[in-house]
Amino acid sequence: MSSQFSYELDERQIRMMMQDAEGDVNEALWEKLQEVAIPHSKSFGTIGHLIPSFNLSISRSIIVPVLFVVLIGGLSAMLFSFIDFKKKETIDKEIPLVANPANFNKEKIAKKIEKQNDKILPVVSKDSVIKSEVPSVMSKSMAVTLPVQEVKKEEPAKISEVKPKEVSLSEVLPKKQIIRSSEKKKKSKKVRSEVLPTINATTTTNLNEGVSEPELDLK
Amino acid sequence: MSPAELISACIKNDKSAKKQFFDTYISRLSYISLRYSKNSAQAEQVLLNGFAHVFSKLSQFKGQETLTLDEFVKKEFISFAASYLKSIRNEYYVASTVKAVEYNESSYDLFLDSKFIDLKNINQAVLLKSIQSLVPSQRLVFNLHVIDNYSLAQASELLDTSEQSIKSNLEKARFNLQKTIERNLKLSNDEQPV
Repeated sequence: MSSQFSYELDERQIRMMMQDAEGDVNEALWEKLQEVAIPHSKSFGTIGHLIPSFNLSISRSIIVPVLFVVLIGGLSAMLFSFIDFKKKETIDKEIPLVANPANFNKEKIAKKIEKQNDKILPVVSKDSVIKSEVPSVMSKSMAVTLPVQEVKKEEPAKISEVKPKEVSLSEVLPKKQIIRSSEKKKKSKKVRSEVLPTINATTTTNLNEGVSEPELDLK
Repeated sequence: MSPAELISACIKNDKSAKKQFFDTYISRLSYISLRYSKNSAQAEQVLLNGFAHVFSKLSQFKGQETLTLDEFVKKEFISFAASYLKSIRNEYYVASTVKAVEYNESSYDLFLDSKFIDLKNINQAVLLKSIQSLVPSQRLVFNLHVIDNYSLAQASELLDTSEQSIKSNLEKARFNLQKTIERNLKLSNDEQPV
């Protein structure tokens, strides 16, 4: 809308013209109205006017917050119904442990232990005796290498006849390896570093001592 | 039949009384529905539903002492028409954003055949057509305030909007209506044979 706009309509004239105006009447409208008005007459004609109609003029600004509060309150009440505070108290109570005197009867305990020991006694077999002898034989020949020991386990009777051999390092290892190890020891000895003679201030000699410099002839 | 008897008969669902009531008010209410609606089809819908609404509200007239039957019927019909048109939300809210385009004054042609438009004497048909072409919110406010003599506060209460928006809608309605009348009058003058 521009500022140059000037309103020129005569509103009083318009009002007079439009207020008293009448439109064309169409007879078909009455039939249409009856179709439309039937639901209204059913609801209001028979029972509607007998029941007093309550028309509470409450604004939306009141109804909406009230509904909101009721909704939140209802939800919170429903959530609280799930939580039972009484049950929690019963759980928190500690049940005291009371010693049963029947468990502390010494005679009964001793009998129980004896019975258990009798049950635990091992059953000795022939194989187990043979196997138990093997470590006694082996104790003498511990210096022998492992493969020999495996053989002894398989044939325990023969193992008893075998005499333990004393094996020295020189027999087992080759000579070259022994020599090398001794040489390495010799080489590993610390080599003394040569101490070079240092030039001291006291020992230094002046090279120009006793030599007279030639004088320049300035002419 | 006196108005009181007519009303009591209508409440009792007497068909002949209802027909009499319909015949009495049909012409007046049909024109009201025409100026509140955008076209005749919508006006018919408003008229039929408005009549049904008035029939249902007749029981409340018994307690009324300040209003006559004519005033009561008109008031109920207008309040229904306003709420009915506002309930068509896609029309009422979307169409209200459309603005009328003003003629650009810089493109004024001195030699153009311009005719004097007398806005004081407007044809009723042109006026009705121009009112119908307004957007629903502006049309409602113009009808309520200018034609049916509702105050701005009453209009704002009826339409459930602020008084400020009613004022702004009224301003726009006045501007748009004048421009539309000018355009329609020009068109009608051009169509007339020389």
